[in-house]
Amino acid sequence: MKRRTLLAGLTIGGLAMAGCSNSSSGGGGGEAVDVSDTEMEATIEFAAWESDFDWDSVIKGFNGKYPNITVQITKSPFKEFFTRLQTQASGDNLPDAFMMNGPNFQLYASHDILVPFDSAVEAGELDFSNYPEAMEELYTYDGIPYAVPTSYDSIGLWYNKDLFEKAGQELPTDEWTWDDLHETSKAISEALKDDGIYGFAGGAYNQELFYNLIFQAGGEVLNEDATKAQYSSEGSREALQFLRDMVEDGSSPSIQTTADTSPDELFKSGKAAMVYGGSFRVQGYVDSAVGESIQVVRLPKGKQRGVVLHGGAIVANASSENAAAAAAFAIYHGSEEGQQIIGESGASIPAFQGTEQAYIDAHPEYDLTIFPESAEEYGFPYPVSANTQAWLAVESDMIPKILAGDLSVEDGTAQLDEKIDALLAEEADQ
Amino acid sequence: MTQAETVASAPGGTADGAARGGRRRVPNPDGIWPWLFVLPTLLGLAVFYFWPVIQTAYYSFTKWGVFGGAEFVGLDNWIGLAESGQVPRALLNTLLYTGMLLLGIPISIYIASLLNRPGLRFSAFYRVLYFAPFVSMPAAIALVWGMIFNSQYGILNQFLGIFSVPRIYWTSTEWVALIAIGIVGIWSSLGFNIIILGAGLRSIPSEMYEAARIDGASNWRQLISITVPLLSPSIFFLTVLSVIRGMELFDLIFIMIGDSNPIKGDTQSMVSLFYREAFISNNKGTGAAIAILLMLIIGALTVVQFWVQRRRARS
Repeated sequence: MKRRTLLAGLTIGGLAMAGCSNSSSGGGGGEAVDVSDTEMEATIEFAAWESDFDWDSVIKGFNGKYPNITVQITKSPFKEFFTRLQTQASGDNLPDAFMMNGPNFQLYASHDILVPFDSAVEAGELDFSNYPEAMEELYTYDGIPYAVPTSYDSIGLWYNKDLFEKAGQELPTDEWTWDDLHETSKAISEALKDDGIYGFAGGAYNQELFYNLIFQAGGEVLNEDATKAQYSSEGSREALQFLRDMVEDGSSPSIQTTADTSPDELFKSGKAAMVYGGSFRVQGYVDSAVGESIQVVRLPKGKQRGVVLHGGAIVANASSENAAAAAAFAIYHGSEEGQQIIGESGASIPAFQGTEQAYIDAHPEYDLTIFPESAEEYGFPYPVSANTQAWLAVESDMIPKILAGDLSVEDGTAQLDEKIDALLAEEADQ
Repeated sequence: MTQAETVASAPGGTADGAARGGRRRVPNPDGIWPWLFVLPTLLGLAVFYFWPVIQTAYYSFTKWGVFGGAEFVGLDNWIGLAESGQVPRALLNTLLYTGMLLLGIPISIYIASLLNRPGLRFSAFYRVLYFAPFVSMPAAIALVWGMIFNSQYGILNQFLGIFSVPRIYWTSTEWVALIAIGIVGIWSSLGFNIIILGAGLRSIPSEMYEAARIDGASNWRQLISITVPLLSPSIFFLTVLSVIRGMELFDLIFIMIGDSNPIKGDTQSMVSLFYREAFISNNKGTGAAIAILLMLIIGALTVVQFWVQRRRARS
């Protein structure tokens, strides 16, 4: 194991060889840990991706409860975070606690790398009913939770009041339907054509755009046990067709345009009157040129209401000597106290329901309450499987083609399902 | 490895060495000493080049778990790669890009000879100007060019719009994107090419040009009949380097072809395909197979180039 790891590190060019101290065979995962001893002594390494979270305050709060655990934080840019983590995992050199996201979670959970939190739930240290249901679902693998949610993102319809006024259209409401969105977008695009302004900036994002529409149309991305892709299900096709129609009649810019200039850039520079934007966009929107003339409402409804929920979490490394201390840190950060601190940084909506007020209060000029409200009322978990990244690569090749009209919705989704099914079948073998 | 070899031997050496005919075996009177002197370098090469290459070749026959633990699967990765049908297109894209980089060499010869005209004012300034792209970060270059190529707000389309050229989607139209990337590639390699060619130009004695002028040869004729033939060692050196650099295309694609781009799947290079398999899809075995394939292709192209050069030198 040790030898192979060293070679692996060399080949891929990572520096995994630095630490092979832990010569356990990598098994060891899956054992429960006890976090009840608040006097335990340890020094743990916590790896986070760079973000606006105020980790120092969280650690300070944590030390109020566990005074003898020192938390050392290492940060890396999000783009490198998971590549780095994988290299560390291959070298049996993972940090004691680290941040996790939906697309990568099952990969780690399925390889017995993470501390299971079911015993903490039984002991009453952790209660998932405090978090949105979709978050629990996202971070549960084979019926066992392996992560403590940090925060979540929800999506809303942002609009630019000035552009609506200019085009003489009525402002969107929480009660809007897809048809309202389409008609108004078209009217704005036509009225402001000479200024190069679009009614709606669509693009081809999944979390911020088409996953929401798929759920609203009653479709699915993956089936229940994530063994089959469902892009060709009726609802999914309807959602993609809707977006395709918006592009075709000019309500929304061409996919080639949004490939060059992202939808939120178009919105921020006043070139689009509406955009589907995540709760995490607030900071960027406030600072933009349109910051003072925008507002947000709930996503328009299709057959039903729906919003895709995704959020980060903290996990603990099961093979670490300090697994208990790491788990204690993860659990603390997900407690009401820890979540309060996270909310105050205003970076994202804290996952603990009832602590979102700090996030909302950070920008009273916007109706940010719609984010936690819609998440709680009709949030759908972000679709994941054991190797999500692999099929996401296929998705991000094909969906833009479908929306651009290079492939028909029917053929495109059929091909997409076929390719992704093959990848999901491969996952099952692993 | 090919690269190191080329650097050592290309300018000058190869041509006249080969012209003398077959290799002669020189008895080595120094025994083991020369080996001891190169040992530190060889050791480094062995540990950081040869061994990883051998390992990568081995891993291309294994299924490599996401978190380590390789299992021998014979030719599965190679067969899977052939069946996926991604390689021919990626290879074609890479070769087209490489071809475009080679077009940069004649352009570089032209600019280098302009810069080396005797009595040119500010020539040092121009040289810095042309060399600047070469020392800039590729990622920064790709970002800036991405803005220039932006279909809606990019300066290039604005400029073409003056002549009522319809809007061109530079980075999101199949094949066109490859040309856009090629333009950036040529632009950023000019500086290096010009420096190398400039050095070659300065070694051409000025008497030859004087003699040609007395015989009534035009500037163009001088370029074709004197400059280019006498520059051929430098040109050969640049050809070999350009091919290797072209085959390793990655960063321009990675940054200029965004994630929601409809042509993303059609505009992969060999290296971006490798990145995708190894680090996105977690098929490190398949990734290793692509890496080995690419190495073999670059090796073969380099061998062919040397062979052509040797034949030409002999004739």
